[in-house]
Amino acid sequence: MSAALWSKCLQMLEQELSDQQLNTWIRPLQVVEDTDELRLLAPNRFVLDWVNQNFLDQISRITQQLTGDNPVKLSLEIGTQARKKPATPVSSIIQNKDPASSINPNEVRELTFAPASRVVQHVDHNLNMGFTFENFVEGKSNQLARAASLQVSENPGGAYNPLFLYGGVGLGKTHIMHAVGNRMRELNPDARIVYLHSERFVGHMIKALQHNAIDEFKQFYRSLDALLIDDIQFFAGKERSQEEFFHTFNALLEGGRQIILTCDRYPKEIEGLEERLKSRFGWGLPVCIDPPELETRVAILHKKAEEFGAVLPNEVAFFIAKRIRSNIRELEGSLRRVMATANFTGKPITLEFAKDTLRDLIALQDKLITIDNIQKTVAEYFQIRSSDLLSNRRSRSITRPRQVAMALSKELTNHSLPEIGNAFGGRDHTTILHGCRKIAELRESDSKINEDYTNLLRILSN
Amino acid sequence: MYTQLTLDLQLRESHTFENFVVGDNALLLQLLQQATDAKGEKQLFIWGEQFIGKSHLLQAVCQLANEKNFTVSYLPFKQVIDYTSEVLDGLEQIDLVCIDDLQLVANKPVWQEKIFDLINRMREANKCLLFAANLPPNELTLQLEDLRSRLNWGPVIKVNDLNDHEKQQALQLRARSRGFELPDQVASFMLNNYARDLSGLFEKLEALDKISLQQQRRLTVPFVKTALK
Repeated sequence: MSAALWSKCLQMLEQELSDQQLNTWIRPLQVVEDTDELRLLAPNRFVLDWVNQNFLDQISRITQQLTGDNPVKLSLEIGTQARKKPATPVSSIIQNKDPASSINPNEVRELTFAPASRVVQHVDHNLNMGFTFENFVEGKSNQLARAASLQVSENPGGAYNPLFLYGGVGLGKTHIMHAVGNRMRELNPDARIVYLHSERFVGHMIKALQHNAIDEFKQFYRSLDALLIDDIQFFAGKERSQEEFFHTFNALLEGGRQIILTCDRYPKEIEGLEERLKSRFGWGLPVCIDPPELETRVAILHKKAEEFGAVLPNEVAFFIAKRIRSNIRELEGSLRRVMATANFTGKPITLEFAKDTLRDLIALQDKLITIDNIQKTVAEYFQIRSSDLLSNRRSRSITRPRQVAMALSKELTNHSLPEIGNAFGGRDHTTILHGCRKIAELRESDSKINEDYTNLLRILSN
Repeated sequence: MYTQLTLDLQLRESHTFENFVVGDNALLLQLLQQATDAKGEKQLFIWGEQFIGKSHLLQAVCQLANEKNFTVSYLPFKQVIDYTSEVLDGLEQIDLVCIDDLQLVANKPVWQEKIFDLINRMREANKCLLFAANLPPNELTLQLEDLRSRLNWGPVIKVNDLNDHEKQQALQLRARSRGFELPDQVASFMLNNYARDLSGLFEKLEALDKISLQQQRRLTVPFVKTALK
């Protein structure tokens, strides 16, 4: 069978299904084609069930049409292409794993936790090499945490065990944790280190329970030199996971292995966590990371900009840092946006430019623009009364501002012209249209009017 | 008398970048088109009013990625949120995941946690993750601050509304994709007489399409006036 059976099948499905059906249910499928078999792999049970119920007959009919006398076997299962032979014992997959291939978390998730002796060099550490001590910006808010972490990375299993890093979201806990792991590996490349999110630990455990492999699970985790678990607060309320983790924790600690945990709060304050765990978390060194102060935020922005290969003027860094106070991820997101815009427009990053780019983030002012608001602002600007705008007075000093207010209402709100007419003392919608046209003309010919109009536009949208 | 029923057979609407009136959204479009490039932003959050074209844009990215032979998954929360959050499992194997109507996770802690986990997994696997919602992350009703913080990780960009001229173009494009022509006079009449948000206009367009088919009438201003009364 040609390798193109599925792509032909897709072409036909594209005629029969909507874009959304294709993008939601068909295109997530990975495909393995063999001479006599077409295996469709769904990412999860839900997609599998849905495809099974709604599209499988159709797919089957099309493949039959396409293959005629040489039918292929069609199957649908949960899985991923990376796992070529699903029946292979996982320990051998780990050992045979191509070191060049990227980490596949799903594969990691499918592990059956082979005994330690068989996988010595082959633990997927999951560490992100991009998080190091070198690119961590130190400030008052994180000084202690950084110092303690550096200490741990150079002397694992020592006095600070467990190292418990806590603080609000987006303050750099994960960064420090990876940095410790990376430094440890630098100093001892054979160290068996695993970083994972607490949810992944829970996931592993559930899978191990389902596959009757809890002993392997235990052996795997207890064979590590260092275990780094992120966001431990997600253990709350998960009793079996806590139980399992408690034993792992004790075993590692007794063996002099390092444990590092992060959490969004102090150990004692985690609700839904067993007392014995809380108290153990406090045994080592709980260190707090506070929100970075202004100078640190500015330094972080400079560092990030440097990583992206750009130079950020100081005043721009201060502008962003002053407005985004709460967390570093948001700081990074805003910076990325300013730089993407600069790349796109080819403009230099100036203060004005940054203000303009982040306008909608910094003040969600859209909601404030109402016809009422426009009328008040216009009346104030031209030093007349709001009620004049709604009246029938026809002197130039009133009609011009009235028309300006109409044009602004049309430009800045989504109200219909009849609605705008109503808001201006019950005028007809053609009057509004006329007013808007008049202002458009005048803005071309009369620089004063144009200036007034742009001023008002700025006032209203700032 | 019976009104003649129309056959409920919709023409395939094609959600591509070509079919999208750009307006003031050039930067956003570029970021979306580059999302699956090696150097593109791997996480984007787009937001804007209903019917402004967010779903269209997400699906356009899917089309584009599909043409490059990437696996894609478009998840409209309107459709899946009533089922199980298992639909988010294993998605890190997929090259591009688009989540639409994210605001629907408000007050759904299990979903919030799963999306939080998905962001972590997608980052680790270096895959693309795009979100669309009616509000920016900081305005969404989220109980899980960890999620909010991660949603702000990549650029957060507003989908800007079109001006009247562009709205008219959008109306006419949409009419064409549904298989009929919307004359200039009718389009401008609609913009001058009804609420000018795209959602309302598109609804009216749909109604017009139905009525004109049922009554076998051409679309003229007088007809529209009576039909939409």
